[in-house]
Amino acid sequence: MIDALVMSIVILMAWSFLYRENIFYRIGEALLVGLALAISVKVGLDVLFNRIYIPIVVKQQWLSPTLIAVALGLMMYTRFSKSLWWVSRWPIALLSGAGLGVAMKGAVMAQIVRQLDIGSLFTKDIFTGVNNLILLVTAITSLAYFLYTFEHKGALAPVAKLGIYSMMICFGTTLGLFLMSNIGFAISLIPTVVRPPGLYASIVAIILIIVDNLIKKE
Amino acid sequence: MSFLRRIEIPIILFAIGSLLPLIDYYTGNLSVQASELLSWVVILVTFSYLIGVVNLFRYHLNNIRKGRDVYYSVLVIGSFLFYLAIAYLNKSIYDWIFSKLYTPLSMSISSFVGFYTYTVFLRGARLKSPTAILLLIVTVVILLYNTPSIRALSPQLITVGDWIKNVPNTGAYRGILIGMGISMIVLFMRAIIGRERSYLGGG
Amino acid sequence: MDEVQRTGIPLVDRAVFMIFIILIAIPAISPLGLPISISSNTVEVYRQIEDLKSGDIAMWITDFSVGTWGQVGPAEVAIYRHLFDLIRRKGIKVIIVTTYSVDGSLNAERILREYVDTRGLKYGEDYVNLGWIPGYETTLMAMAKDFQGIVKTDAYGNTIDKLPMLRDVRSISDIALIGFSTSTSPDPYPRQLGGYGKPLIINTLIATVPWTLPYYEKRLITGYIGAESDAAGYEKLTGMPGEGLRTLDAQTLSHIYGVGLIIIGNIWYFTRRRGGKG
Repeated sequence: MIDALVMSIVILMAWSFLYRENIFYRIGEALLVGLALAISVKVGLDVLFNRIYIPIVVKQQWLSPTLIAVALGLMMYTRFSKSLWWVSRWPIALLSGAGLGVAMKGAVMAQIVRQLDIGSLFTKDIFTGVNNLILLVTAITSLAYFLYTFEHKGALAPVAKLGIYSMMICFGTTLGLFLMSNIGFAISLIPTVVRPPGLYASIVAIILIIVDNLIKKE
Repeated sequence: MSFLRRIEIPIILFAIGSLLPLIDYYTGNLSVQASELLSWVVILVTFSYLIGVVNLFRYHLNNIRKGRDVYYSVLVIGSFLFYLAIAYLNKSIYDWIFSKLYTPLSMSISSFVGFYTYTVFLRGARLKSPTAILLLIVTVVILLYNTPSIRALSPQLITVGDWIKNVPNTGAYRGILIGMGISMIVLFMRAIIGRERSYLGGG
Repeated sequence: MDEVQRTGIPLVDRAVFMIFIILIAIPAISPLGLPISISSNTVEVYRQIEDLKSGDIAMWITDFSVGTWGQVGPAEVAIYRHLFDLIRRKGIKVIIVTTYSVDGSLNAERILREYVDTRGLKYGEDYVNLGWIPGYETTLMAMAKDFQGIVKTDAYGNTIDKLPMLRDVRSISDIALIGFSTSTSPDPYPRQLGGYGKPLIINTLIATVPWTLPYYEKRLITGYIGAESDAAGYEKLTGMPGEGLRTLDAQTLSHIYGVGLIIIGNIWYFTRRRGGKG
């Protein structure tokens, strides 16, 4: 009972923004930020405890290479110092490098080599061949559209133009699905606010909106 | 000291960080070092994550000091300190706040995009040009194709929707994916030779 | 005073919001019982999970954010329930882990606490929750290559040597099935975990599905779930009804409303243009 009521109150506090910006929304927003900060700190400290304290202090691996990572991690905080901020560039560079190196290792195969393999255009089933041709054309033309190294002139112009149409199909699909995704969030919340005890909170919210309107009109 | 400030040092560190996993993957050498690096990343990411928290905290403390949005900043810091204390004092209340307060609040704010997408449909989805017509036809077909009850009533719609999704849409996305992959390689090359330095935050 | 100036939100927009809320409230108060069809991709995911054999280890990476629970959560719950049912029925083992952000680990804990029946199962032998291992793509690569090197403890601080089911997990080759849920880019997962000949399943926002299809077509991803309707289908297949089935009617009405708004918007636009106002 109390759970549903609390949930519906916080949902309505946030949704009150759809009527207009107001104190309830801002309280909800501040609360969300505060809670998110606390969660981040709690889980972050847990990770550091498990990764640093347990191996180094509990397991007494005093000369673990983990200490270098800890030193690098602490170096990041020099960004708050005006004279030592440049030190923070070292761990950030290492972190960015590792991230990009790992991503590139996977991307070459998954995003380039494997994607270049398009099925045969000459198949027993004519529809499969035609579909493969459409796959090929849409892939090449949309890629051509992003070739900003060359101006879209001459032979590249119609190809890039066709690329726009290819991408319109792809963006149309995404737009339809984007709406579906976003309304899904609201749909999952609505039962809480239209069934008792959430309904009572909703009635109070509606009364507040009516009163606010009457005050504004006066 | 001035030597340590040179830009070449972070560029070399970037190169080491990026090349180790690649050398390990393509040659099988330096495998132990690559594994060690990856476990360092876990710690570095956590430290960098906490920097975000420190930044936000500083922002709100600054607000209080300057008398700007004081009440909201006090609420942010107050709820932060309260919830952090609860996290270590009472796990069941911590879990309850997460499930019944934080999750619905977070979902409600995420749901705004859904409401505003509808207004975009009403105000912005205009059949003005051939590309817009194509975009909107596909949007409508995909919306209906993904409507559970309409799917159940119209098998033809499933055929059309499946075709759009699996053929032209996949083809165009494939072009985009290849483009992204190539861009990543270009970015990597530029960073290795020191032409790309945005990851260092200026300088 | 102009409505927008007075409130910040135009009256038409408010009407659009209000009608949407009323539309989705109707089935929440009184379900309409509209028909449902289970998509082929949902059946494919169900089959791949159901085909796990005794002793197989499944690893599920819960990486979606709390704000997207409404979209990804229902299917995630249905899949967790299925996996835990298979622990009982077939004796599989389940590893749960988060790599992207704190949110995923909190979602995983919430599902384990509130939605999944873990009674009678032995933690550390039947299932394990590794919590958040920060690093995202680098962590994914590390787990695939050297599992013991990256996983030091579970979410509760138990060291890996105290978790018997992880003793023989050295790399991705010791895992029979990998699944992940995400509300951001799906790219890192097929980049690091695809192509090993293991089933790789994604549970994501429906808007992300088109992005995953080129990977799916190349079997770098072997199955996808991408909407509450898929969640509802999954719940129907497992015989464990949940949030997906409960929101099905509202989805139908809201999609039709979306199409209706496009049509009304265009009629409005062309009428005004013909009248010389457009």
